[in-house]
Formats: sequence, structure tokens, C-alpha cells
Amino acid sequence: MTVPLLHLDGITVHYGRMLALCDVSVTVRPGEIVALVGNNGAGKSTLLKAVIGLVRPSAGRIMFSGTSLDELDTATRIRQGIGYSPEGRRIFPGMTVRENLEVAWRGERAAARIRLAEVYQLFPALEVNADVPGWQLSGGQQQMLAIGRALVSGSRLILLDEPSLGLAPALTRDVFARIRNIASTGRAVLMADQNIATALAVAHRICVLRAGRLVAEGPARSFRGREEIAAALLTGEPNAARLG
Amino acid sequence: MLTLQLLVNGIALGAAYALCALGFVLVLNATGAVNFAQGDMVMAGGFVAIALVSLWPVPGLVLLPAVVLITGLLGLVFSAIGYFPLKSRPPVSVFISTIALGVIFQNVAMVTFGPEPRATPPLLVAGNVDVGGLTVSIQAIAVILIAALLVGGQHVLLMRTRLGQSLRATAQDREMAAALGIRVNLMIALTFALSTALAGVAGLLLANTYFVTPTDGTNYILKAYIAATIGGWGRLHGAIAGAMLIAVFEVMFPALPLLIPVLPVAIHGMFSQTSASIVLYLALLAVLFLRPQGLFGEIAQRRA
Amino acid sequence: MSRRALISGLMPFAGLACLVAWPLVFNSPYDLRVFTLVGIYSILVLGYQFIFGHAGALALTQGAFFGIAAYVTGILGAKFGWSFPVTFPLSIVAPVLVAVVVAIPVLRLESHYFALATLGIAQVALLIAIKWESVTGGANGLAGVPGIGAFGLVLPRGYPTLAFVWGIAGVCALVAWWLMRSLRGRAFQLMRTSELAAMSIGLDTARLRFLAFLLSAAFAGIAGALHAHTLRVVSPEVLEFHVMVTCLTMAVIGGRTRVVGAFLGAFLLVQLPEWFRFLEHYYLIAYGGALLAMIIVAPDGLVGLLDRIGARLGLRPRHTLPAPVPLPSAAPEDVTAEVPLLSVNGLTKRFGGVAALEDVSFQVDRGEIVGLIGPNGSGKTTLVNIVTGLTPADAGEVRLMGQDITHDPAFRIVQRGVARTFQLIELVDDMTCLENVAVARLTKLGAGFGRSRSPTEVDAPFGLAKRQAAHLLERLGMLEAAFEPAGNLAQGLRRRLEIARALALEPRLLLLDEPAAGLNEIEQQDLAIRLKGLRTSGLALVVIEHNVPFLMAIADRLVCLNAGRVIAVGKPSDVRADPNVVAAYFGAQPADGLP
Repeated sequence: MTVPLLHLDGITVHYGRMLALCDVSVTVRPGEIVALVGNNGAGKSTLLKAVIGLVRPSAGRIMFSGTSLDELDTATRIRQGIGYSPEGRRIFPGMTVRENLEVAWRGERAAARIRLAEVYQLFPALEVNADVPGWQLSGGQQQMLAIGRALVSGSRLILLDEPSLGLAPALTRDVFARIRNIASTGRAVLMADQNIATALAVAHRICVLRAGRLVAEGPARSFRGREEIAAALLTGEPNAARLG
Repeated sequence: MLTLQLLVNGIALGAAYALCALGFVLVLNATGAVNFAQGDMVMAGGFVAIALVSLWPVPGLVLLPAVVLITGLLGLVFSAIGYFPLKSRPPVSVFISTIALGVIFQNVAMVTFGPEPRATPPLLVAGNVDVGGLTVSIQAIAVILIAALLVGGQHVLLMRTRLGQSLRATAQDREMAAALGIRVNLMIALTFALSTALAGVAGLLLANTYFVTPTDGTNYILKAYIAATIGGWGRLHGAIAGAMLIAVFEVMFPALPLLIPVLPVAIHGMFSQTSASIVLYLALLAVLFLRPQGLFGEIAQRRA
Repeated sequence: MSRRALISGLMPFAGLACLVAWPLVFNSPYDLRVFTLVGIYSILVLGYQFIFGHAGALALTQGAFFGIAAYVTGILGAKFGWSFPVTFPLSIVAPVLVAVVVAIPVLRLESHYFALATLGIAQVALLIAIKWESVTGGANGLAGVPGIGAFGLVLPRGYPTLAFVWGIAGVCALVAWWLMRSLRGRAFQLMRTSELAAMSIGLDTARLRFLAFLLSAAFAGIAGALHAHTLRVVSPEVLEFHVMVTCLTMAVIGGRTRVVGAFLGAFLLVQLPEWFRFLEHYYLIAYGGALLAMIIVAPDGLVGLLDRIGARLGLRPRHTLPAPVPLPSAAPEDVTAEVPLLSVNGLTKRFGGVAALEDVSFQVDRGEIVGLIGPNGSGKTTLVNIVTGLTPADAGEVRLMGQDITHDPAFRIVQRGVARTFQLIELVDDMTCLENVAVARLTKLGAGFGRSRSPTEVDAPFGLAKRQAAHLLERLGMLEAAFEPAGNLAQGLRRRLEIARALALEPRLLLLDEPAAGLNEIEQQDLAIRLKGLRTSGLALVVIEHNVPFLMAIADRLVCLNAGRVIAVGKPSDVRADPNVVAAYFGAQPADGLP
């Protein structure tokens, strides 16, 4: 059993009076890809944001490789080697592809260069368009850029929100095959995806969220198929399906 | 010949306007807020130079670094008082707070320096040079060169440095910039400093030829505002072009009867500094009405 | 308790007594003139509150309107010798005409542009005053403006002029109070909080803003004319930006929307500098400092501050719940059963090159609950926005009871009987629940600008609206929260409040955008029961939801969108089992290949 890279313990988040997450605990180990699945508004994005401090939990603790992140601001958390790709891509429209990637550099320059090269290898389209301003990219290219940016800054942990949105299914599988390779070197991925097929195909473990609560969790292979997850979500029975 | 001379003067004036407008747009992009005191920072730059000269009589060029430093620091203070306490309120609050800061700056200058127009020493030396038969003031040339240098320097800073990338990222999407670990509040404070420093230099450059009085700010902010609007809200190069256009027009318009001798004498009275301003504002209204995206703007593009 | 009521009841009289006592105590000719100016500035600020406070638009023309009126009075009086009965109305008409002309290009501009454009107009007025010497006297201005008078008689300076000016200020205050006290005032509050919500209750926001702009100009005209008469000179100073800043500062410091605030602001900013005159320009520094401090510390001005202190001391007026009155039952419509309530045919919408909706058609019948489902980005909200007129369609049509409403503006569609709620709830947080609902009765009750028979009588439409609102709150089981500010409510109640407001529009069709989002399971069950109860009166509901279990419980039919197309329509259980729907929702790659 490896030491967890990221450990979320009993995270509860309120937006004003609205409960967005309720007592959610998730663990990510080095080299592991964990997928959060669930409907819109289930709290997937909120959980990712909580990791880097964009939202502040009202209860719960966040540990990153053995130290607490709770008291740190976003910039300091990111500098520990976390990369984040938000929902909706949020690439900088007035900056070129290269600038969009470079602006995510944190930490040692040489290592960042290696990660940048890695991104170009992963998405040759980005290298070809390196000098094209962000707003001119197609939706799919923007998504690649958003993922790429997270890979550049995430030397240890990569957070991806809806990475498959706008990518062709074949490309998604291809990209995630390589991300698995990248992860196998000791980095880890925590991703949120509505697309259960994608999640099942790429992740090592699945966490099912519904209405802010963790309703099922287990290794991806232990879910017999997406119908099972779909059933959990559709009927909404938090039937304590702790699989695996 | 006269046309060319006026053109040089117009470009010199426009260069100073451009620095002011550039700073205005930088803050606008970074915060979404209008800094109504930007014109007063031009005035402040002029008076800082005058205060420095009274202590240490040297040519204006020598003062330049000190003016940049002092007005830049002023910008940090400005953002701490006028922007950060209000950053989560509607933009109109910042608009009003900068109006208030403008009133304060104006009257501090009034109390300290009095209402009379004051002039800074020339940047290098007074006098004219003969360039291929064209007599041009050394000051105008120096103003153009310094402004060009600063605009270039600003371009290099924004486009070629890590800091510049972070500044731009903050301006384009503050939340995402924060999510990448950029310290956005620091970036915004620096943007204010950069912006006021540019305005301050504009004050230094203008105060020799055009003098400086404590109430000049309103005029300069209006020019910056107009430049930013006709250049396309939020576009740096557009603002520079807009500033040039305004200044050349302002310098040329009153001289039209001299330049076009066929104009009947009866209407010569219509060509004055004042009517130039009237025409300018009417043109602004026309631009707002017909092309809200600015003369040089493209409709679909987001601000960059 | 009665002592508290007594205190708050006596406050206005105490204020009035101070007002009368002031010029009796400070009675030098100079003091009297300063106090007259307080009255004039009060009128200016009362006017500015319409556009800046109520409509929430930072207009920088108020100083120019003031100056234009002063010049009209000055020119007509000093040059032509015309007297007050003629010049006064003309001085009001002139700025209003200017306002009408500039409103057309300027009022539709967004905030920054609007401020800039209005400032540009003010600068043009100033420059013309300086430049047009033959008429305006140029930089020196015009001397010899007559005092207020008629038929050869002129009001002497001192008390008579002061009394006259303050009399007019009193009338202006009454008018402003009367115009804004009723439903209309609440409508303005809604508009500046959320333009979207204002449109959703059928308000023509452009018209409201226009009205506010004209009222501002008219009040500025009154103030400008009186200013010229009082000082007996007009110079370009009245058009300078300084006047505008002063007016803005008065409004911010006094309070942006309250009549008392205008007087308080004007008094402080005219009187204080007089006392601190020996400080010369230092007082202007303090003036800027005060404006800055107010905007940071008390954005609602002194009146807001006093309110807060009053509330702390328990001086808040006691609310008595109005007796609930049901809404009038819908007029019997000529039911042609063949025509569906809503029919959407071939609707298409593209953003850039991306098709948000592609040839979407479906129908909704009376009394039906239709659930609209589909993955993120499938076009559900776009569809609702088109039906409600917030987004124009590229092709296709929307018919309500057979009538084409595709190109109607949003407020007209609301008036035809289509109401909606928003994904992100749009309420006025500092207005009570009762008023949040009552304001939506505005268009139905046709409450014109403060339609009361006498100023003391409770405004009849507003009273009725509140009673009807109470009925709606009762129906949604939240009557006990009637006087709670909407901002204090929990998410579930906020949803219900928004639904109550939509119901106040007497809709035939109600569109709900994710009503269950953010609700816990109990709140969801409660909402489901209430929604089902709504269709008794023939009201049809279209409910956008991601929460399929919630929809299964209430919907008669489901429509499923994917990538802008309708992929399934039918009974909930059928749609849920439809392989296309499962594929779309749960991410199998469909055969026809999504991008």
C-alpha cells in the first residue's frame, strides 16, 4: 500500500446556504487515475476546486503528500506541483498556445521544459499551432490546450474537469492511454467526467457522486458496466454500493 | 512645411496622450474598472517633476526614473485605497472611488503648488533643430522618442517576460490565473503601478510645452477615455492609435485656416481649440452610436 | 413598543422643525443664501436619484442639465427681459428636450460607455457656453439675471426667495416620494438588481430607464433655473464637471434612492464647506476623502447607515400581514382544443459555427408537465431563452395558442402568459419576500407611477398586490417568511419564492430552469408536490432538470435533447429506457458519431 498523494477527508462545502458537498472522502495514490462521476451539480467540480483552494470547505481536511493544504492559498498549493484544468477550458484567448502553456510553468525551469515537450508529444496539434492565439483554436484544440496546461504545471498531481468534453471519442481514449503512461511515472490524476464510458475506460478507480454525496466507490473493473452506475444515478438510491 | 511641423507637434502630444491611455486600458483590462483618476496621475507626474526640479535643477530626462518610481509607488497606494476595498462590488463603485481620489489629488496639488500653470524644464535643452529644412523643437523630438521607448518597453514587458505573461493572464481571466498559481492581487497592484507610472511620465513630457495646473486631470482622462473608446475598448494598440488621432486632430484643427487658404475668412472663427474639442466629443458620440466596438475593433473578438 | 412607535412617528416632525429653525437661527443674508442653495441642490439630487439611484445608471449629464437650465433662464431673463412665469417652464423643457435627443443613442449603451457618452455631452455643453460668446457671454457669463417674480414684482432676496425655493423643493420631494413609493419603485429596485428578472416579470426596462432619465433632466431644470435666479448671474462654472461631482457625492453620501438622503447630502455638502471655508482647498481634500470613505464603508449612504442604526434600536416599523386575496381567475379563453398551448417548430440556433439547437420541435398542452432533459450543453437553456424571447432564434417558430411569438420582445411574451424562473435564482435580496412577489403584479394591475388617490392613502394597487402576493406565498407554504428579506432564505425557499413571483404573472405556461438544483431530498419532495398542485388551473409547466428521479415523479412527458436535437419524446418511463437517451446521458459513443 503506497502512501496517498492526496487525501480528502470528510469534505463539506456550502455555497451560501446551498450544500454542494457533504462529507466526501477521496484518496488518490501516486500513479493512480481516479475519476469522479455524477450528474451536473453532483459536486464533482466543487471537489476539484476545493483541492486547490478555489472554494473553501466548511468542514473536512485536505492532505497532500502528508502535509495539510488547509491553511494555504491557491498559489502556494499550485506551487507544490498541482495542475488544474477547469470546466469550460478557460484558456487565455489573447495569448498564443505556447504562452498559454508557459504561463503555467511553476517550479524548476528545466523540469517544466521537459513537461512542455511531453505535452507537445501528447498533442502534436498544439506544437503545430504554437504561435496561434488561443481564441482561434477549435473546441477540441482548446480542450487539448487546457489539459496540456494542467500537465505542465502538475508535476505531481493533475486535476482535470470534464477532459473528454469536445474531444472525439477515439482521441479521448488515445490521450488517456498516454496520460496513464505519464501517471505511471508517479504522478496522479483526479478527474471529473459526466461521461461514464470515458471514466470506465481510463480510470483506475471510480467515485460516484450524487447531490453532493459519495454514493459508490471502487476499482473501475469492479463496476460490471456503466448500466450499474447509471442505475445508481437514475434511481438516486444511495444504496451504499461500496464495491470492491 | 507648416503641415509637417504641426504634425510633429501633434505626434508629440499624441505620444503623451498614448502613455496615459495605455495605462488606462491596462487597468481596465486587469480589473474591468474605469480609473477616472488616470488624468490626475498625469497632472501628478508633472508636479512631481516640478517638485524634484526645485530640489535638484537638472534636465527633465534625468528626472524620468525618479518620476517613474514615485508615481509607480503612488499607483500602489492608489490601488490599496481605491480598488482593493471595492473589488467585489459593482464596477461603478470603483468608478466613484477613483473620482474621489482624483478630487483628493487635485486639491493636494492645489494646496501644495497653487493654481498657476507651472512648467518643467525641457527634457534635454530648449530650442529647435533643423531637420532637412524643417524646424522642429528638440523637446517634441525627445517626447516622441521617450514615449516610443516606453511603449516599446511596455510591449516587451507584456509580451516577452514571465511577469508580463502573468499580468496578461490575470487581465484575461483572473480566476483561471489564480488557478494556475499566479498571485493575482500582486499582479493587479503592479498593473496599477505600471499604469500610473506611464501617466506620470506623460505628465513630465507634457508639462514643458503645455504647462501643468492642478485641474488638468479632467481633460487628460477624457482624452484617454476617448482614445480607449475609438480604439476599441480594452485594446492597447487601438488606444495608442486613438490617442494619436485625437492629438493630431487637436493640433491641426485650429490651424486649418492657415493650412487651407481658400477657406472664407468669415468662418475662420470656427476653428479654435474649443471647437476642436466640441468636434472631438461629437465624433466620440458618433463612434459610440455607430461603432460601439471602436474604429479599429472587431466585433466578435474578446478583449485581449 | 408604543414609545418606539412614537419615536419613529415623531422623527419626521423633528426633522421638519430643524428645517424651519435653521434659517431662523442662522439668519445673516449670506447664511440665508447658502441655505437657499441647499434647497436648490436638494432638488438637483432628488432628480439625480431617478437615473443614478433608482435606474442604477451612472449618468454624468445631471450637471449639464442643471447648467443648461441656468443658461436658458439667464439668457431669456438677462437678454430678453422675460420673467419667471415664462422662463421657468422653458428652463425645464430645455434640458428635457436635450435628454430626449441624447437618450436615443446613449441610453442603450452599457455602463462605461454610458458614463463616457454622458460626460461627452456635458463637455460639449460647457464648451458651447464658453465659445458662443454673443449669446452666453462666454467665459464671463451673464450678469443681471432677474430674481423670481412676475408682472413687475420681484421676490426680494432673503426669506421670501428662500421660502419659495424650499417650497418648490418640498413639492419636488413629494412628487419624487409619490412616484417611487409604490409598486413602480420596487420595479426599479428589481431592474437595477437584475435586469433579467425585471424582463422576466414583463417590465419594459428600456422605457423605465428613459422615464428616469427624463425625470432627472426635469428636476435638474428646476434646480438650474432657481440657481440662476438666486445668484442673479450665470457663468460657465454651472456647467463644469465640479457640479456633477458635487451632485454625485451628495447622492452617494446622503443615499441614492431615498428622498431624505437627497436633503441630507445637499445640506452636508453645501453647509460643511461654508463652515470650513477658512480651510480653503483642504476642505476639498476632505470632501474627496469623505466620498471615498462613504463608498467603501457605507455604500447606501447616511440614510442607509441611519436605517441600520434604527433597526439595531428596534425602530423598524411593525409589519402586519395583509389579508391574502386570490388572483382573479383567468378569463375564459376561447378554447380551441386542437391548438396546443405551446408549439415549437423547427427551432434552430447557432452560436458561432456551433449548432446549439437544430430543428427542434415539440408541443406542450394545457395542464401538462413536460420535463426537458439532456446532457450538459445539449441546448436546454438556449431553448427556454428563445421561447421567452431573451435569445433570438435563427430559424423556426414559437407559437403560443396558435399565435406566433417568435419575434416578440421578452416583456411582451411575459404579458402574453409565459413566465419563467432561472437556473441561478434572480431575486432582490434586500427586499422582503412579499414585495419580491408583489412587484410582479405591476403589469397586471397596471399600477402607473404611484397611483394613489391621496398621498396619505396606502397606494391601492400596491396594497392589492401585496395581498395577492400573500395569497401566493400561502399557496407555496411560505407565508410566515413574508417579511423576511429574500437574501435570508435557504435555497429551497428561494426557489419557491421565485416560483411564487412567476405565478404572480398569471401565466398559462411556466418554464422552470433546474428548480431542484441545490435542494436536499426533503426539499425536492416538497417541491415536487407543490409543482404537481399547480396545474389544477390549466397551467402548463416545462421543467428543465438534470435530476431525472425528480422529473420521473412529476412529469407527464419527457423531451430529451442531445447536441441540440430532440432524440426522444414520450412517457417518462419510455424515455428513460430509450437506448438513445441512455447513450447520450451516459456517454456511450452513438453510432452516428458525435464530434
